[in-house]
Amino acid sequence: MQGAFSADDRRTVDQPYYLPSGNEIEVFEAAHRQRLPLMLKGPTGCGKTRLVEHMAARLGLPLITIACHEDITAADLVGRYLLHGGETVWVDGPLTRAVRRGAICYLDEVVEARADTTVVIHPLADHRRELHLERLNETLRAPDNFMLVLSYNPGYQSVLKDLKQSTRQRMVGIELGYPAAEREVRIVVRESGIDEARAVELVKLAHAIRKLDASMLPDVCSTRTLVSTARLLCEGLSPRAAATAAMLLPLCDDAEVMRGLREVVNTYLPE
Amino acid sequence: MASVSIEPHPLRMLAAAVAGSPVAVSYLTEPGARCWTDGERIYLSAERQAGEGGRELLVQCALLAGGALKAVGLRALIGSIEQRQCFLVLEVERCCASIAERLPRAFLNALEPYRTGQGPQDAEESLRIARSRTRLPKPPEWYGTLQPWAVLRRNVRGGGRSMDARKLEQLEARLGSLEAEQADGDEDALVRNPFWKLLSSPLGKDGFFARFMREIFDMQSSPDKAADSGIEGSSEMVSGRASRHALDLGKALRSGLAVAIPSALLVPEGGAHSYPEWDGSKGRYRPDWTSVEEVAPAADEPCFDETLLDAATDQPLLRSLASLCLGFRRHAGQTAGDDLVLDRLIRLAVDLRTGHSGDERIYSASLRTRRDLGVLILLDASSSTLEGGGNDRVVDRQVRAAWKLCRTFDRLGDRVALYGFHSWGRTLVRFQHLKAFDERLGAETRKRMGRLSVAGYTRSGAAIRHATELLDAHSGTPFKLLLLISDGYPYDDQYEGEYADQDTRKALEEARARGVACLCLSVGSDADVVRLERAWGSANYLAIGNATEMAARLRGAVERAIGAAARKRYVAAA
Repeated sequence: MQGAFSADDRRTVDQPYYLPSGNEIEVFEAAHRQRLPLMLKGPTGCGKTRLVEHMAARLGLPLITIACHEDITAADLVGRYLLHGGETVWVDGPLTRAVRRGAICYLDEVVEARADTTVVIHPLADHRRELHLERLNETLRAPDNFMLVLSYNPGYQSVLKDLKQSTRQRMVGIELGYPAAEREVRIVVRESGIDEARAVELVKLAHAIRKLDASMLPDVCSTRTLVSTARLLCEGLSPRAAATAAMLLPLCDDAEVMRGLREVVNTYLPE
Repeated sequence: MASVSIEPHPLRMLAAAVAGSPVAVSYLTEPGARCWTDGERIYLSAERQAGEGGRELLVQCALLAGGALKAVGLRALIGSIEQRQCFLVLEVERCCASIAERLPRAFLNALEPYRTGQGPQDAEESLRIARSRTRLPKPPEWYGTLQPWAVLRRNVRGGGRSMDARKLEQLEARLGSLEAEQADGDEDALVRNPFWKLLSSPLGKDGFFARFMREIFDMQSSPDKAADSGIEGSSEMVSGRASRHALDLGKALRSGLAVAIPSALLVPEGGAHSYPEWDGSKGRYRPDWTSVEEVAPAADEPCFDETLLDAATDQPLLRSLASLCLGFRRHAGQTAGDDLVLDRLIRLAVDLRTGHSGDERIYSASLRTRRDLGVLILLDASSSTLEGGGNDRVVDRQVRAAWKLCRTFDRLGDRVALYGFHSWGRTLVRFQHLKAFDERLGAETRKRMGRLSVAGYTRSGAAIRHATELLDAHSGTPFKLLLLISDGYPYDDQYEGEYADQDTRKALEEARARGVACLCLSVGSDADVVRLERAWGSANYLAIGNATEMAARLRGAVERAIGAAARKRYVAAA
């Protein structure tokens, strides 16, 4: 059964590209050395997942990612007995595997999980650094390499979803935002391979759109959508077509807002 | 007046993106008009929308973003067209440089020929350079123009900034000196002007503003001719009749008349929200009659004591609203229900085989626990709410009630939005954005509440229509409730009496047909109940003494309103 999860062993040979905007790499490394769990906050597409991938490669650790959702249970994280023929077989959950291997366990969009589920990470996230497997009557002690990383997007939380204070207080936080213009240009150039002049135009457009407030636009265009736009440009699409496809259409469905945004795009980008 | 066809280009988004905050855009249909801004709204020439229009708009947005019009001593520029142009060139360069990271390169290249090499640090320094008669490049036509009068006038009107007691005192003093030299006025010219109606309102008949405006109008022959005085500085000579100060203010008020007041010269921007209005006497709609814009609240000082917002949770209110409009939600881990949960079933099977007793909550069930209500709270921020004294004015009670409701509904898990509204005539109905549906209730909301500006009048029909639109588009819940917290009846420029009542009732009817329940809440206002019922209808109206009474009476009223809307929608569907 364990063979099915060999993807965990994938170690990235070359480091995924990440250009820091602040001291996030130093904080990450310090937290890892001090065996402290980490909480990444930031809007969608600002590079939270990329930072974790980059750091996993940099620290030479396997990375186990868990995308959290509303129906995830403690058993989904820790593991459970499954019926196998006439027998019951214990199968480790991703969190347990990460503890056994000393990997980085990355809980993506952790607020989506219910609060009673996230409580299972509490003993792992404080000085005890252990995981209780009640069904096996076993307690795993996490090796020094094991690290817990949570990410969430403060903007997306509904009133009913928030991290419990008891969970938050165990974490060290890093707040990520969209990078400054000059860095974002470097990221777009590096990730898509377009020339710098066109990247500058795209970044200017994105910075303008980010100035729109929440009453006009529910969300703004991320660094990720910028890179997608640039990649479409590399395929030979016109700047306006690429920006419409990769930046505007994913942003919203409101026809009136779209017309307004098209006007913005037409002002910033050539035919 | 030439009629120019206006293509509905929604430039609001572009303007907001460049300026960094929401900006309203209006089109000037006068031929040859240059675009300008009064520090709050951008007036664009309708003629040059294609091609150069984009550049013109970017220049004005940059001026807004850089705070060029907030310069102290802007009045010094009034006399000289050369100084104004110098100031404009300097400020465009400075403001554009400060937001260069979000301006298109083609535009920055177009600015190159007009570089001054002066590099002022702020608007005041530009002002000094402009007045030192340094030779600077002449601005091209697409730089637009500067109307310092309009900026001063806007501040007087209280559009953006609240008028504090000290400013009021100063104005009264100037008025006093003006009155001493008063000559006989020509009342006829005033009555013809639609704006005059606004001033002869019962709300402000003998208020200082009305008297002041009368003085202003008396000083020159006709308000119509005065309207274009600010454009090229032609008529800026000192009249001997009034003191320089009062004249300044008079011109400030007058130079904006053509644009700030409902007038045929002005067409609302295509992308703004326009709504029809019901003309009861003719029995038909006036299409696209009102124009609603959403702005960020921008009062400099809070108009109420901010400790109002600190009140503890109102438990009785919370309890009374708790079971409103619940929908079904799936719950796993039930002892009985419609479906088996496979995970739990396996766990139970394993437990039983290994000799444990196991957890028998293996069903999932749909239970009525989901909050299915979207509430938009609309707060009347017209100047009439400032009546009363001390810390118990109508506006204080309204703010307390609105904040309490907003927090209670939010806490219960309902989707809540909160807006303040007021109006100056049909083209300027303003929604002050306090909390949108998708925003969290938090410190930011509180900060915005503190900046709520209270001024103007109440054009309720347009407000209800826009709120309905917002609820329909953004609440995303099966039940929708519009809570209008207002102190009295509808009143605005050319919007009063029977006409206003009929339009308001029509707007409420439209909302109900779209499944939006409406409830008008009057908190501690002493308005005539019969009169209020005529405007709102008895079923949609709830008058309470203060915010603590809400717990006892709100629940029933809300249920009735939601029931009425649901029935209406059911009938419409059938």
